[in-house]
Amino acid sequence: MASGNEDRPGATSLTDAPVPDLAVPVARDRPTRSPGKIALDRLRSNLPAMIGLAFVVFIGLVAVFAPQIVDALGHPPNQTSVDHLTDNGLPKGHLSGISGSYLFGIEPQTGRDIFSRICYGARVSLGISLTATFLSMVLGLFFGSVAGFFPGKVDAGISRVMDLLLAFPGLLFTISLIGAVPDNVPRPVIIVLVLGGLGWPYIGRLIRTFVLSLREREFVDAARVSGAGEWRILFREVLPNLTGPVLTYTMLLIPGNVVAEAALSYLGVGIRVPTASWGSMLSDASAYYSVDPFYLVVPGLVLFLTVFAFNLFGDGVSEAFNPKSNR
Amino acid sequence: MTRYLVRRVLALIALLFAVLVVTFVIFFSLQSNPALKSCGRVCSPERLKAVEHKFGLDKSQPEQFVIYLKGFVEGRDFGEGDAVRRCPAPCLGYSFKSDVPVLTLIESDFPVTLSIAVGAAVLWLLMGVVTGVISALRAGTRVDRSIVGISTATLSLPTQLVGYLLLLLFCVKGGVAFPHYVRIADSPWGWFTNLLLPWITLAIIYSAVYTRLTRSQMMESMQEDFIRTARGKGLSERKVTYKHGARAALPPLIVIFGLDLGGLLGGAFVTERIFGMPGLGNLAVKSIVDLDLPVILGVTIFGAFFILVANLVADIAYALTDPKVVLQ
Repeated sequence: MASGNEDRPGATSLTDAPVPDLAVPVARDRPTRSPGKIALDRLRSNLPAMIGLAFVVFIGLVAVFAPQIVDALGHPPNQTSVDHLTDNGLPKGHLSGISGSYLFGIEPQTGRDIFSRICYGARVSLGISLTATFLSMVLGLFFGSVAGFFPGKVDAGISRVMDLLLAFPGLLFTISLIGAVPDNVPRPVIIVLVLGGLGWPYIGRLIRTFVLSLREREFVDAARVSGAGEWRILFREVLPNLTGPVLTYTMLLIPGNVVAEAALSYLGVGIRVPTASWGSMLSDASAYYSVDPFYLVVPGLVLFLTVFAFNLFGDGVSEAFNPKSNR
Repeated sequence: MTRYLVRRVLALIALLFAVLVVTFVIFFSLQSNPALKSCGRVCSPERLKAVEHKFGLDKSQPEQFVIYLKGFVEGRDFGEGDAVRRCPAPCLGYSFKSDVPVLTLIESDFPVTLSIAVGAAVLWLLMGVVTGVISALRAGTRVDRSIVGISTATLSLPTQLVGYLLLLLFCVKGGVAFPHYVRIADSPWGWFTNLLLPWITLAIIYSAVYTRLTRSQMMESMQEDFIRTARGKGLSERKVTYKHGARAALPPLIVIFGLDLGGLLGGAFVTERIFGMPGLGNLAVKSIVDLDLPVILGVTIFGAFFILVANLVADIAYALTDPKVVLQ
């Protein structure tokens, strides 16, 4: 056990405390595994989660190497041409004019290469989503756990701020904020700040609820009786129990933010033309859904598969760290 | 309980006030002048002055805020001389763009959003809870695995893809008339049929969350000691499941449901746009594009009000369903 009145985080932890002699005999033919290792092994043997991870990595690579991929397989993402369009602006041929040269077809009216725009769109969509998620998680984890663990004024203060932010109609407020910011600030930066800055209270509240109930558990009393300080109990005893929920909600938030970016672009306050994001493509395509449905299906499907992959992986993470609720 | 309620209602009013202040400050720190929007194409300096005066934009920001608040509490008069119009309390001002009282705009568009949100909520709750309970009780079987798989997939569907594909399938190819909003007072059947596609769209996406939540809550509660106790004292498995297991699984669902419904009542932005429904989301997006400040403020306050009330109701329902929670 943690000994004495150590209250510095990282002094001694339960896991590397010496095992007393009365330990139950362990089978020596197998190396002992830490809880983290057990969770990782569990995750590794979860096929759907690994498929999800593989797709996430694949889309991530597409985003990183978009210029090279497009050089080799496509046309510049903003290059317009009317060569492959009919007189009324629709692509010639079936399925948006899909061909070896235009792998996912051609955009109506402009003649831009849909494949290239999907590749470059991955950069914008994933970049915004990951950064906004990171911002929300850091803020939510910190403020939520502090609010849950320190009752009274601290909790009241943080909870009021979270209440205020949660009281705002989320999407409406996001749209109005983005609309209100001067035009010279780059749109992706605004979107990240607004999504991230408005997204943390949701996580914060969940974390607070978890900490609130964990605080009453016996192991916290035990740590307190053995003399651990409050911050130490919070960071070393309580928070490690939240690894599962934190990872799970991170994996929920990432696809949530991908979808939010798509909604913003669809409503006209997202990424500006001509930059491609999956959301702006979906928005552009919605005008042609009845005459050129394939154009809508491509970004829709890419968005779906990416979100699905994140969710599959997220489920795997959640099961690995929280086997109590596994399948 | 009464004390708790009074405290919460006071907090609600304080929060609404805070939302109002924050929204007001953000939009008045805009660099562009909202009066320009309603001044017209040919905008002489004199005309701009007149428009600014008409909307009270020539006064300082704090003054404008006080006037706005006063109008909310005791009503206010717009215009001068013969053209004076009374805007009775709670006055949210006149739209810069259309010169219609903001409250009238909200009153006419809110039923659309209400219809979409409530119908969809009933549908997704039914779908979600039923599939979730089935899944939890058959945990590990093929039925459970397919329900979990399908719900993970539908959870990941973009609203736009679902909405437009439904429109394509039923209206473009299937020959069903394109949905448009029909008031329930005019034709209950027309109201119902026209809203079915928006409801299904939202329910497909929302219900998956409820399936998963119901399933995990139910599985967790079925492993609790009190379930063993209930079985031990000889209750039927049916009673154990629905009276003890489901009851314990319920509270978190109620909270999420309250939050989801409250959020949606402020406007179902994407769904309204896909199906061309003139609801609050549509009104909000229009007002933001037009920098129609009074409408933005009105819709924000209205949306915030629903979120806060839904929150309060959810908390009370949580306390009523979870005997471990004491309101204080």
